[in-house]
Amino acid sequence: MGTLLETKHLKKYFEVPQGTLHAVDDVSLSIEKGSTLGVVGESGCGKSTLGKLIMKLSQPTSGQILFDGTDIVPLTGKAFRSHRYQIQMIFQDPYATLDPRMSVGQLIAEPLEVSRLVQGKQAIDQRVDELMELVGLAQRLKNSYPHELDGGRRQRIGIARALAVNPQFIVCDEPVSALDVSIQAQVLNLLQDLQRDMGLTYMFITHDMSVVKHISDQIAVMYLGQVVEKCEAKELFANTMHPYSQALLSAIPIPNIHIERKKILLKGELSSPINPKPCCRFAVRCPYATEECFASEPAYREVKPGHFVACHKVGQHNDNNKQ
Amino acid sequence: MAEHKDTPIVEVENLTVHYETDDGIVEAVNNVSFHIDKGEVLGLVGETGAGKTTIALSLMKLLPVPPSHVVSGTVRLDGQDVGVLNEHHMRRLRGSTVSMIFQDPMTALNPVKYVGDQIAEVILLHDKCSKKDAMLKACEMMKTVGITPERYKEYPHQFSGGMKQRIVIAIALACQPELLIADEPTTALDVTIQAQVLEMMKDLQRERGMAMLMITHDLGIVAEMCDKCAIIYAGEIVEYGTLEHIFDHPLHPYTVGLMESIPSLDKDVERLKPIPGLMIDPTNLPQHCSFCERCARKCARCEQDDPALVEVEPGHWVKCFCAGKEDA
Amino acid sequence: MAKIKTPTPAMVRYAKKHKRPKTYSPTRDAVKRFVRNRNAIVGFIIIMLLLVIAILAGVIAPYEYQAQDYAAAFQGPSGAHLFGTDNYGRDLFSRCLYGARYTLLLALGCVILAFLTGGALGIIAGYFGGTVDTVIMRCMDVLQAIPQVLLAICITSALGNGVPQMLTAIMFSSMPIMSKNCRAAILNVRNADYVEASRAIGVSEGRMILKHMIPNTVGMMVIYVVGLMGASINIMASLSYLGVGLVPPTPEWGLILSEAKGYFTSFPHMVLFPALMILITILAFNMLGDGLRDALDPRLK
Repeated sequence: MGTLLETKHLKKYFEVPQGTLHAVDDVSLSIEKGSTLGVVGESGCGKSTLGKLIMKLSQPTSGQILFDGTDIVPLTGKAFRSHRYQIQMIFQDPYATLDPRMSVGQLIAEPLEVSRLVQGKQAIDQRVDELMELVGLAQRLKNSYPHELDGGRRQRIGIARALAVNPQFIVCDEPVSALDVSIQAQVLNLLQDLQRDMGLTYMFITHDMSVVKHISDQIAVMYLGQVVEKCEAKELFANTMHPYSQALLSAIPIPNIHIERKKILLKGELSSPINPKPCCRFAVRCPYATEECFASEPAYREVKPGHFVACHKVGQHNDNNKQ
Repeated sequence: MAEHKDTPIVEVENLTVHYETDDGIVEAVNNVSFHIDKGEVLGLVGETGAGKTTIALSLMKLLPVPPSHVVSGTVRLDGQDVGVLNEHHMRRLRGSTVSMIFQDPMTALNPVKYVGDQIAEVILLHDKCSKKDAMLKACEMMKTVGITPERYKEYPHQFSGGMKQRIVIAIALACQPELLIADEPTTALDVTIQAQVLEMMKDLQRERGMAMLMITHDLGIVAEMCDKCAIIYAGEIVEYGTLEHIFDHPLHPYTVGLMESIPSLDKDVERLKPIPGLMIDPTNLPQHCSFCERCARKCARCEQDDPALVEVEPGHWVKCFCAGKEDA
Repeated sequence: MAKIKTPTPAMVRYAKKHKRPKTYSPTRDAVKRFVRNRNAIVGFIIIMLLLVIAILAGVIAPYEYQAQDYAAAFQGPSGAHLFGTDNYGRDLFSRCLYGARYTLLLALGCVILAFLTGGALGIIAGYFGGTVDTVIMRCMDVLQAIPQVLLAICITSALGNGVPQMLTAIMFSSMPIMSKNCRAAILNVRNADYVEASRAIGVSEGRMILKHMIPNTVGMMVIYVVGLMGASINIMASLSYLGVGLVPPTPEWGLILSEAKGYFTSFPHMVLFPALMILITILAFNMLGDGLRDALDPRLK
């Protein structure tokens, strides 16, 4: 199992009236073939922008995106077309991301027609049937329109569209957050089945800790454009190191009345990373922040094999925080 | 909290609400009965389209007519039948006896008025006091919800989502209501902000001994905030009981299904067990049990009759023929 | 994975009792909503009637529109002259019928011109954005700042009265509105999530325009075009009334009104009937336009 996708010092800045918004700031991640990397964070942390950069829906300010060893950032035109179909995306809002004037059949056929992977009307039609079966959509829905279907089925259409071109890598941008819990579970199971059967690699972007824990092998926690902690999923929950990850974990309401947890309530609100000062971005809200945190930016370093954290205080505050 | 049990703050009996639309009659709420005692927090849990918000709006008598239509049932707020009250009386009740906060704090505030004035306005409407007193009280309220009164003269757009929701809560609580209806109050907020807001709501509820109806789709929030819980499916209460009943031994297959659908943080589950099928079409409810199409435990009787909500143990009500029987 | 289960007998019974509604495309849905809307249907029927009248004017009309009969001048409505006659003894009923042909045809001409110029500019501005957008939209702003009637008077005083001059005048005055509406419609679709989603599966720009943008804006465009029909008839009547539009004896409604204005106090029928025709037509177009808006874009209700 080698690395399928790797980002190196990826940056995306936007110019806004108040200054420069560091949406994604020096993000270096790697994803193993066949595994799932969960990316969690709150709104405005840059996780969706990161997904769009990898999809090349937006061009990075600097940095590299290595896919199977090739940097895809400078690729354009024909050279890019062959890579385009290797990376696909499942979008958050299954209501807005499907053209309302196309039927289910047309929607799923579109990537096939565009990519010319399947030629001929009959062949396309047959492949559409296969894809519908694969994602669990009944054949009779082929001539239905998205507005007649519920969120779960619409998301299945989105998944079928992404799978149509036989990608190796799928960016899942909050694919279940618009769905009800019972439907969410169906879609999560479907995604896991597809991964197992087709050897897919996922980057799973979400704000929901329990979903990310369930589906991921590795988890990266993002805060204001930066990755603050990255490690194996199990390790993150057993040995949370960054104070933001700790707060995030403790903030989630758990549907169990027998677990008494000490909540870490953060001070203040999320800001946006406009003209960030050269200090730890979490320092203002951090319960453990000292002068050091306001003076310099902590390095993103490996504190344990496979466990990366960006915090000056790692190790110093963990002991007094165990339940 | 249930010691001083005189009249419950809310009593709903056999409430049925329909919406008349072009595509037929939507049976949004069907024969729902429940009550909330003073100082009690009831969680109302259900998925999209289950009828949660319709129930809340009918408590406030804020349902848009048409298309909605209360077919039958009574709603009593603090002993008064809401159905016979006129709009003038209702307006006096709203705010002082019962208040509501909505999911989206962005649209609930007037964008061209100072937030402080928006709080003071409610106080002026209900209490006979001078403008100055109202402003003082508004500052007081801002402090209560954790915002410095220095921000009195700021506009809603200068506040973040969590802060706006705090203002909305301040408005709702300004006149010391005995019941607060919170319709998905934190769904639009980030988790860390949600934790702050929930913590604050819980503190305020305890301090004031206020009753609360917490509408949510998140069982985690129910576990943290509520005393009792009602699970609704297709406009009906399918299970009702204390938190111990619902979380420790849920009996209705839908409740069990919901619990198993949520990826767990404290346990390792390889594979989720979702409820098969889709939410039932509320324009087309069957005569028999409306959950039986998705039910794993259904028997022949479930496809014939509609079960009643029965008390299987003290305080634990379930609407299922098979509840309480041993699993196969 | 959710496999298709074999239905249990109960499921079959249930399905039989509650037949699934057939699937409807958004277009069929819109037609259904339109048919249910009484106002829209009334407007639609009136316009259809006017169209029939316009086409068959030569057959229905009892007299030629320019036939003068001084002996019968200034007659009130009667069996021989349903709408009465004017100062030249011309039959007003026939003139109003022929007027439908002229008015509708000219209004259609205006709208097509406005769409081809203003609409096209708006679409280009919306699609390309940036500098192109700024330049086009600022030009439209300038155009919009000139009062319509003043513009028309300038054009006619420079080029004389007549059909092409009037069409040009109305075209210029409708261009800003048309371009702004079309730009908004395109922007709406261009920024839609499904366009981005399609870009992600590698849809080319050409296909994007043909398969996604155009189908999703046609509805909006139809609404604007119908709305502009009513507005054009309105402007046309005003211009003719002020004497900067068409030349007599063209039986255009505004012109008939203009010719009759001197006799209003003694022979009100001469004003009443053409005015009613204008009123009914504009009302019908507005009703149709509103109905289409409700049907094609239910969110805007």
